[in-house]
Amino acid sequence: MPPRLKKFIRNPALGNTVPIVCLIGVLLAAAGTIAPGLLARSSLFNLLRLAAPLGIICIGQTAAILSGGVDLSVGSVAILTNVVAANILQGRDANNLEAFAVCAGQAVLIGLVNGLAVACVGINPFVMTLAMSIVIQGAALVYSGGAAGGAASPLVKFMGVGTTAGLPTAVVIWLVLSAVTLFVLHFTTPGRRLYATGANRKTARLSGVNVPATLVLVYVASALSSMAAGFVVTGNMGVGTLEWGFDYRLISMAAVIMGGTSFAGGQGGYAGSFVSAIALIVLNSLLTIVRVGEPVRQMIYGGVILISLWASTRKR
Amino acid sequence: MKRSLMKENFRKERFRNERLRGALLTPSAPIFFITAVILLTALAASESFRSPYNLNNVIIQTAALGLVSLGQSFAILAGDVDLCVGGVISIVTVTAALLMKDPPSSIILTAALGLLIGVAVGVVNGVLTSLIRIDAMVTTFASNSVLLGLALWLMESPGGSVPYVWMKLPDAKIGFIPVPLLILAAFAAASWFILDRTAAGFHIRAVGGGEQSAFTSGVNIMKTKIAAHAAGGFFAALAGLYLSARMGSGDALSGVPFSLDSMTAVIAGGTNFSTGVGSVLGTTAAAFLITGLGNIFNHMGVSTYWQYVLKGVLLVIAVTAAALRTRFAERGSGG
Amino acid sequence: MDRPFKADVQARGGGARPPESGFAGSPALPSFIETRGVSKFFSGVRVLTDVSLSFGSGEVHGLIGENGAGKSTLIKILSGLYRPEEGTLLVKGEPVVIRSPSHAAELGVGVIHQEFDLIPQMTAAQNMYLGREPAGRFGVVDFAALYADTRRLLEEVRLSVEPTALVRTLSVEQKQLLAIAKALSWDAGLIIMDEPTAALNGAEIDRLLDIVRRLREGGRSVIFISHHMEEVLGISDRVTVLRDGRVIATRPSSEISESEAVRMMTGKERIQKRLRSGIEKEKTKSSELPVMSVKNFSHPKHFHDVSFSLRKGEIVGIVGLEGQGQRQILRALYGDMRASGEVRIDGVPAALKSPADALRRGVVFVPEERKEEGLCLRLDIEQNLTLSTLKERSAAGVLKFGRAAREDVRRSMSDVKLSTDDPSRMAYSLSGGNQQKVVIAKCLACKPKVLLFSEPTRGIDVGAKEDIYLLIRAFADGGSGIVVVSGDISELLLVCDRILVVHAGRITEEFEAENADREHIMRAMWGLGTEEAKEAL
Repeated sequence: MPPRLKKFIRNPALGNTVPIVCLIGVLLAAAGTIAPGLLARSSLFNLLRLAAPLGIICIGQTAAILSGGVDLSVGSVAILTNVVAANILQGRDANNLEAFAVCAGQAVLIGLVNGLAVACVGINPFVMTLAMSIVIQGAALVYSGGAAGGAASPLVKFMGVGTTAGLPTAVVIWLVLSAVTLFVLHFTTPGRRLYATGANRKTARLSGVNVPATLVLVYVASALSSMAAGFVVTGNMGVGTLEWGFDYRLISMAAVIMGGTSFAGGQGGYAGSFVSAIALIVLNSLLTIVRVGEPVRQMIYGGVILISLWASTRKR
Repeated sequence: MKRSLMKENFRKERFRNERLRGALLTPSAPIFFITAVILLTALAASESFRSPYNLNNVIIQTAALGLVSLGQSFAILAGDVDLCVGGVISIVTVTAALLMKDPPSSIILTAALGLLIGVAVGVVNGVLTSLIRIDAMVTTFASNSVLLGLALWLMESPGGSVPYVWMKLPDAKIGFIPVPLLILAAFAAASWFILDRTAAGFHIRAVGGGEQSAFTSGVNIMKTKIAAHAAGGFFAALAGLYLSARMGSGDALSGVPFSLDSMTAVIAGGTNFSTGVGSVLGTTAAAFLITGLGNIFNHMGVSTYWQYVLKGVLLVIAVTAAALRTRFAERGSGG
Repeated sequence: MDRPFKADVQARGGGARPPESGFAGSPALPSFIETRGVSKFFSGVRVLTDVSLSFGSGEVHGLIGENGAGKSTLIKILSGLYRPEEGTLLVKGEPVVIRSPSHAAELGVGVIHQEFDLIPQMTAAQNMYLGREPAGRFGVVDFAALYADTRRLLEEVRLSVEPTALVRTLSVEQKQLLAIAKALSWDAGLIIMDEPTAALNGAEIDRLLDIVRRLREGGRSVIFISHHMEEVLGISDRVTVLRDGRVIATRPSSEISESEAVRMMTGKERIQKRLRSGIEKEKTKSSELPVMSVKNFSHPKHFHDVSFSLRKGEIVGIVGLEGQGQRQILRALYGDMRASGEVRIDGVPAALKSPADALRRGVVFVPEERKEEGLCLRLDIEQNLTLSTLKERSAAGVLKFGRAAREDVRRSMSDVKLSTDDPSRMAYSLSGGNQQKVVIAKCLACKPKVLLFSEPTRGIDVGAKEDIYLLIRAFADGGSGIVVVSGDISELLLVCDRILVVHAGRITEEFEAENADREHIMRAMWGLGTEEAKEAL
């Protein structure tokens, strides 16, 4: 192997990207032998479309875990967005602006509360965001009265099911947001501060980094990325609903850790989470094809987290 | 001679005063106060709340949360959090509903199997957290989802049944004292004894208060953590068995709220993360408060949706208070 | 307050104990624990080489060496925290592998660690017997026995606290005495004391030395480590000097002088020539305003009424015994701690409320805890080096890239003589000296007016130390004002222009480094006036 390539692969920001790309290949090959139709262009696009919301949520989750914390409120922010947006939109484009504004507002508020509690009060992020996720779930239930209604507007539907430049729009949105994320993480000062804060908070503070501000920013960004995912899902489903297939808290954590971002903080990056999101969705459809039920899949995600944790400590 | 006696008396006196002061300053003091005020207010204000039927209900409900929270105390005192208790409860209720039949031998064997499952899961969690050396929350969160998945796989929708004798257990009374209250009191006393009167309890608190110091002092960290998680699993299984009796059937989702609620109870009860400080009594009081509040809200007609929100808020308040208290204490002692 | 070391040495020399001729090679006393050819590696780096020592029963064995000479590694091996890669340990002649601290305790090794190993939220008694509580059936603790035993041991070290007192509420001295009592409670054949006097005052030190003597008379083996040479030479029967992980010599304490010991520790006569300022004195003295002036700087707990000024190109050293507030002064000057009083930078009052504030005003800080506070070990050199100057290295939040930016980082790296030129090397993979250089490079990138160094060479090998001294001098010559806090007087004499002595949170004396001598400074550090000091010494 040429040394430059070797060095590139060993780049810590890549995490487990390379092995996971191989894993996706293996999974696709397996899927192809079981159900050859799955490798058709349209069904591959469909897989990516499914992976998009998870991938977008993983943006925030990656940032949170890189900062030395975690965000368990991601899934419920997406649900709340879906319920609220569908109700405001009522299927009309005229309401787009209001829906975006309200959802963005509540996401920022949630992120601020999480961030301030973690950064300024010093509450364990796991506890804080877990409690927040319960609060938000309750809020979504209260808002919808237990039965969500409403419908996505044509624009939001386009985000969920449309195509742009031959690709599903959801995937295009995901790619754009991913590019922005990678750029921010690796080529801007906030990104550097985030890594430093996660790697060693004391050092970061003594080096002049505003640690609380960085953390608050992380949780706000995380809530906003969950909001974006919420809109994509709303477009995809077309309606507001409280019945979601995925527990995004668990799967996003699984994807990020599997991608090589470490709970120790400051280690890893979004590239690994990106490919892991795809890998998990491919795995999910493979399991669906062989008729493995949701309960078992949940067990598998839990197992993925445990195995990734175990692997990450072995590496150290 | 007389002087030394006086001195001795003086010392005793001072000692007693210190103890009183200590009792007032204990981190559990606020929860006793708050619980007393809220429950007494409810008793005074609401006739339906103070009806014997309802009070019995509160006790029956509290027993489950109380038992889980006792187990959670062990985990949190050892410096970890066990988010896996919900999964254990789910799987134990499902197991009980599927396997428990009328003959007493079946009841005993199934109960034993349930407790064994709880302890085994606890041991696995303990091994994982001390081997992986990452926040126990993450590992137990993951193993929780594995267990919930398993429970759902075993029983997709609530069902099954338990023997009639078993079902009657939560409503039984000895004299005028409800059995659930006795069970809770007995296990709370046992937990107190283990945590405050035995070497194992000292070790659990020491590991929670300073793992490195405990290690160099010769405490076996892995063994202690495994024991703490096993206790967590044991108590969760106990709660699961109790729930199966209360519900009369199995439900794979019945354990879900307990992971969070037990954490709230323990923290609100005055147990702090990573200090090894906290009392079983405070935890039990907090468990009463949490179920009592739920009951009061039901009486006031607050929707269950709002109760979700309130539960989350309660946890946030508890941890915020704990964090501020720690900070205040640190400033006070200047260390 | 008087420290009876000299007297003690004389008493022994005078025949209280038989003169130990030929003691060095083969101990006359039966050895309690023995190391044979012990070596230890950390990630491929040898930190202990072929250490063969024996510690006799009834012997106090002093262990001296500079920071990083391998003392603590050796202790950690003896106490079961590390396992050596090579060599064997023998306890009473039997080869053993010490598996864990509890195993070490079973073998009869008790340790008083520098960090006390006490759990703050538990009581004195609980701490004392942690891990081996007197317990009956089912592990039920026998509280009567626990408290009685604790009380007896507390009396032995003359610590008057209740067994039920929470450790959290004890003072540092009380904690130290409790840690000593705890080690006694092991009833161990060998007691290792790592800096047991660091937190104690004169009378308490005497008491401790009494305890050590009693242990010796009781046939125990004691390993005594202290950074106060006089203490070690005074109390011990034999002294072993470690340097760079090797045993340099083991000698009877009565046959080794302080200066000889220092020579063996450093491997050569200490560099005598000071690093002279490159700027002519007259020029700076009369010239402009001081770059930093501090007036009535006070903190309710750590320091009081600190006033001094710092000229451009000047290096001021601050020295004091452990825990006299000198480190906190630096922290407060860097805005990491709140303090009252006035700080002026270039004559302008500066409220330094946070490190970020200080950095903006041109004050930078090199903390003593390199790995905990100086570096992000999991990040690479470049990420560490640029962390304080991200703003200057970016436009609208986007980091500059391209050749100029890369060259800039490379130049910073070569400026501090880093041993590698690869900016993507991870910080954890560097040696201690190189890590410190990265921290310094990070600070330099800020183009500081004032540099604050806390223990700049702690745990760094000798070669890298000299590099760092030269760097410090070079920054001063470049026009920065520099404050160095260090416990190492020789180091300060070497690099500083002026030395301030801090005792009990106050600046008690000031020396021009050129005509200061060690003894004077030492006396001031102990808070001794000249007369008293002469008596004591």
